[in-house]
Amino acid sequence: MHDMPFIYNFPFFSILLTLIGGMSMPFFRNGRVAQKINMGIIIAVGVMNFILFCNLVSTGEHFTYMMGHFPAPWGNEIRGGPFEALMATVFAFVMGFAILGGVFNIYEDVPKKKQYLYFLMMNLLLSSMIALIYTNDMFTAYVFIEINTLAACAIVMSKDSGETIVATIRYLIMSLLGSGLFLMGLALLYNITGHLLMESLQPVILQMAESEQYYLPLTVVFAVTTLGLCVKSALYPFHSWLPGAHGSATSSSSAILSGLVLKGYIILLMKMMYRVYTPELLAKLHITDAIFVLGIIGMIMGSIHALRERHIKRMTAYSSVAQIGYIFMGIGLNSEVGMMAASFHILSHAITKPMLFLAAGGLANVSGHSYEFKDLKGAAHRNKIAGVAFVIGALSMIGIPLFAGFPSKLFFSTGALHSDYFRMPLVLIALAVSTALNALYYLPVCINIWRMKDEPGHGHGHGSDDHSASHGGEPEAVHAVHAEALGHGSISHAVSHGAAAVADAGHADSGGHELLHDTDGAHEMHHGKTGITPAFVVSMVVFIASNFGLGIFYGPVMDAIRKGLELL
Amino acid sequence: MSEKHESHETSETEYKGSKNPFVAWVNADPTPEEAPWTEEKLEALRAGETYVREEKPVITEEERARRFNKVYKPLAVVLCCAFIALLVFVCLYTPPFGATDVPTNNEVSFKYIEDGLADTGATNVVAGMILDYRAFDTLGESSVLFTAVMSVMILLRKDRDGSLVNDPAEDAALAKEEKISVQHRDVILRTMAGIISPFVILFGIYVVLNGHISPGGGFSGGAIIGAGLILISQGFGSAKTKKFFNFKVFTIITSCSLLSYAALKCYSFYTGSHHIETGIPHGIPGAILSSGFILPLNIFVGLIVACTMFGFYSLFTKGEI
Amino acid sequence: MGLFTDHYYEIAAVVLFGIGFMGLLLHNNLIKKIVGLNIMDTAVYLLLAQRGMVFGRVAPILGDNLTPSAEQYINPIPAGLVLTGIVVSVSVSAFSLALTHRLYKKYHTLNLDEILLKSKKEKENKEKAVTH
Repeated sequence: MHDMPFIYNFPFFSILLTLIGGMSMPFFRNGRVAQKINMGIIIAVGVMNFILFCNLVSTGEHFTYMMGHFPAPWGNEIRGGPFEALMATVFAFVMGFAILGGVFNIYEDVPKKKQYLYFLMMNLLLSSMIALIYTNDMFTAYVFIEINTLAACAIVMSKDSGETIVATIRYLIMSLLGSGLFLMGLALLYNITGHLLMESLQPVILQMAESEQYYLPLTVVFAVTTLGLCVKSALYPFHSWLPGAHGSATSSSSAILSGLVLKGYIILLMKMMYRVYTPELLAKLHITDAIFVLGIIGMIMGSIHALRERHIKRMTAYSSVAQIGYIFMGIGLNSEVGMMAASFHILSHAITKPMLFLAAGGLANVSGHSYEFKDLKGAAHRNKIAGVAFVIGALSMIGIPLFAGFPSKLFFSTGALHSDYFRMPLVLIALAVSTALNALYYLPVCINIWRMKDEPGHGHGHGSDDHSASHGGEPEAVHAVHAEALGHGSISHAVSHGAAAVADAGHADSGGHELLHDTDGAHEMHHGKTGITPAFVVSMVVFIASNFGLGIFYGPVMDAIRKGLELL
Repeated sequence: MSEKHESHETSETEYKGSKNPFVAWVNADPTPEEAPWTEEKLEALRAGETYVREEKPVITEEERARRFNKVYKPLAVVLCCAFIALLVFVCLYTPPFGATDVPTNNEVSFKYIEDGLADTGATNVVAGMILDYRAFDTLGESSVLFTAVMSVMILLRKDRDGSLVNDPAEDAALAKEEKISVQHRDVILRTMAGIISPFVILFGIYVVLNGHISPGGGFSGGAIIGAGLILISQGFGSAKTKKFFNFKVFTIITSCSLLSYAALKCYSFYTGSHHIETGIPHGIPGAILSSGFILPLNIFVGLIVACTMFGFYSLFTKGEI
Repeated sequence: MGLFTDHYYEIAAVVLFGIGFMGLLLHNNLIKKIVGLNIMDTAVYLLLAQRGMVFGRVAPILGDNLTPSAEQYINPIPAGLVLTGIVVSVSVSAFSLALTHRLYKKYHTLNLDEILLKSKKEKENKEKAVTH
């Protein structure tokens, strides 16, 4: 250990840098300055973790890092491996671009004097998530879970309205229930084992499991801690807080909550599964069976709820419930392949969902800040890049090849084929049904945002007297329906639109104005701004590119995940 | 599709008649509240009859909530009772209360007790444990407190530029109350606050400074100091406390203490992981100036906690610090 | 019976935990919900603190004893964990009470169901105002 490479300091630097950044924010008290500092810190964290990831993958090593002068069972410790470094890199990357893409809305939604507090919370949130990823100690995990909870609630409610505060209190109560359960499980675990460190816990637990009389307490303890984390990551029956919180917050907050905060807890759970409980023991105690069943139910029910929604952000939030179901289903498959698929889905959902939320925010910005479907009709023509991003995100969620969502579905099916004959049909059926449902609720929105505005029959009151204007719009919509129905045609459709939209993004501002003049006042502009800032365009382009990147070059990522899980 | 094209040429009524689920789906329309238009109804309309819309029994939100509670509450009770029973059952597997040879009395706690003094220099083993062995947890803990006070600030601090938190009527009521309390001071409260609060704060400082050699420490001492500040504010009015404790002072003390705390810990984490000696003397056990970093860490924690407690109090009562 | 008397602190702790849990699930009043949460947390602290106790040993404050042995003092770890837990619970309570304060100011009720209904109605009214 004396010749420890310098880069092994990076997890420690990341945690401390973000914490110190958060603590020093009150000195600046200016949103713009705070944002720049925050961005700098996020970039630094991303770069450090990326270097660490590359190094660990090439050397195939993992390490523990003492936080203080005392080794493992006495002092605190953090632990890094390729899996942790990969997740931390992706978290920093997604958070940076999610803030960049939603920065227009942040300045609009958050009261001016409190903007620096928003970025303060972002720093603390990133810090706690990195600590959750790298932690090697159960109690440290609990403390950082609480920071994560408070900071996540704070970024929901910083858009100051009655709706967000109601959503926040529901979110907070459910989260606290989850952390209360986690703490109870932890206390019981400490009671019967006498350890808090993951490394020392595992041998004691395995020894207890050998003598069969300890099955009941072990089952309850595992179930209670797992349940706590499931409540916090919105597994299906405990999801009731999610749509409100994710649907009403400002775009960046929704993006980060959906894309990252939920995953932080799942990664902690996976780490606990491998490093404390061991997958074999969990399978023996039927914990994974319970997770599997809830995951399958979540996949279907989340989509059914999403189908009923007429509010684009709430619909996307319900889609997150379904995707969390996918991840838990993968964890519950009881196999290495299932775990790899779940890890891959964490990544693909982490880069897709923020894009969807940001695009939804961008579309709403040019539609009078309304998220209702009826007001979003034709919004993509006013903000082309957001429209393209939404379509790509939707196709990725459905699982069309070339997009990030496809490989994960492929791996889930592979995982199903490797599992027992009870799970295999269930997974395949659930995947098919859920994919169909995804298509059912995403495609109409995609068609709607791309169709011309004034068409007959969309039935919101004032459409009857502009029939003559409507004929221009009809064929395109019909063409779109055909293209989407054919599935593979939709890619070329979307891609060609994408190329056009990137070129057009600069002109979209003026175009948006023209289109808006002949509307009936429902979409009045807010201060004449559309929110299509260069930052938004850059963030959307990066998200689209990374979606394609992950969808096409999934092989190396999967290898890294396999290596990471082996070393976990 | 063809149905839809035809509909352009036909009348509005006909169009509605052709409104099939597929078209509704493509349009992402709200689910139709009316019953679908059947052929019979259309016939009836053409024949000139008036179609009476069937009134569905309206279920109000209150009614729905009541129905939900009717199922939910007994279910919750049953679930909780089952949960308690399960946990009680688990408790029977845990080692008995007060026994000596239990899993928790293992090499970890033995090391803390036997080597704690030599390792950390603190005669209060708990202080040595939380501020040296497991200092990362404690750093996280202070950050939780910081996060909470900043979140409360987002929620309750009034802005002068008129955010949603401002309520003129309430401000006026508060000002009136303040005025009355200035004019009619509560003699008992004021006298007692004057007598007690110096001692309270002094005791708090004592607890903080002796944290490493006797029971207490930054958290408990800070809470006592915070209580003393609240007592002063209650007895003499917030205007008096504002003279020496305003928002600026609050920010500077909280952030500086936290940053110094983090800096000290960074130093010891970094040196620790690289197996470098810190070079901080542990001093004579039992003396005030002993045990390395633990005394300054306790002072910083005490400052943070005192400010946070007073901050919570004044944000809740007046919406400002 | 011996089983129960050996574990009375723990049983009290888990029963308290269940009571807090039930309070959290059953009450509509936000303040009562927060009290339920606090009871839950406190129960966990009781569970942890009782684990530190060993008959015949004293609290781990060494005083003048410079050569301590593990036979003399109780386990210090639960005390540290409880301390951390208390600070976390204070922070969380303050935050949830602040949220309740804001909600009461806006909707003039503490009942969560009523608050949800009122906020839903408010939203609908806003939408109507936009469409007309």
